[in-house]
Amino acid sequence: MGEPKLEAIKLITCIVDRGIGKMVIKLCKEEGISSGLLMHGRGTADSEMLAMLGLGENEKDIIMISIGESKSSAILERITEGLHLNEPGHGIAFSIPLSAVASQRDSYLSVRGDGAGEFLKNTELNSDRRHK
Amino acid sequence: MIKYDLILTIVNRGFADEVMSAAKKAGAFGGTVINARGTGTHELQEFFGALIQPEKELVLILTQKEKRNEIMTAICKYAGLNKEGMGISFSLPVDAVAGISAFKDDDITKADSMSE
Repeated sequence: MGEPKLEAIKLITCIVDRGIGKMVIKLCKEEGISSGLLMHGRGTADSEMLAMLGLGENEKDIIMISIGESKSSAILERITEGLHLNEPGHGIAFSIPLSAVASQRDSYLSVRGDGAGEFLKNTELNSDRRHK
Repeated sequence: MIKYDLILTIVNRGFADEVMSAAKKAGAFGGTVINARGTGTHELQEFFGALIQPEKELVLILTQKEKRNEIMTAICKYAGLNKEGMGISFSLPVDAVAGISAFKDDDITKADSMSE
């Protein structure tokens, strides 16, 4: 099997209106990503103007997904298309390069966003856990 | 190519509006506020015999790189550590964005009119 390939990891963050967040999760599931984080927040853009017009709807869903660089742009494009983010008022999405990632399933570090870095063996994490 | 940064600010609950008004004065368009909980030990306060959790607000502001310093300075000035909100602010690089092309042009015209 050999050592798994190191890949830069991105955190895709998506801010959309309340209730739309599950659509993002659904889109990601279609693309084969099963894990995501959904949070509730509130938007503050032009809220005074919206309140004047009687449009108090500024509750938001925030979705965070971590994903390998090779897939990240495709996912971001899929989200942009699926949620019509190119039209104003439909929300925003952006990706942040992560400097290190650790998880139980695949534990690896990716540094500098170019995929160079050290591999953190799963066994190291597991033995650590046993000692505790 | 316009580059963006994400400014994250953590303040005590109720001070997010202060952060946003400071940021908007410095050129930010909008932000998103998430409720959170701090875990600093010195912030655990006893209140009638019961420990109360320090409640926080996390403010996310996506902005152009050129505006970042100004916005962060404004946030520090009006909602910084020495103020009541006890805020800390940091920024992360963003390498791809979607959904803000709509106000990009508007932004450029605004910047032009401001320099005139």
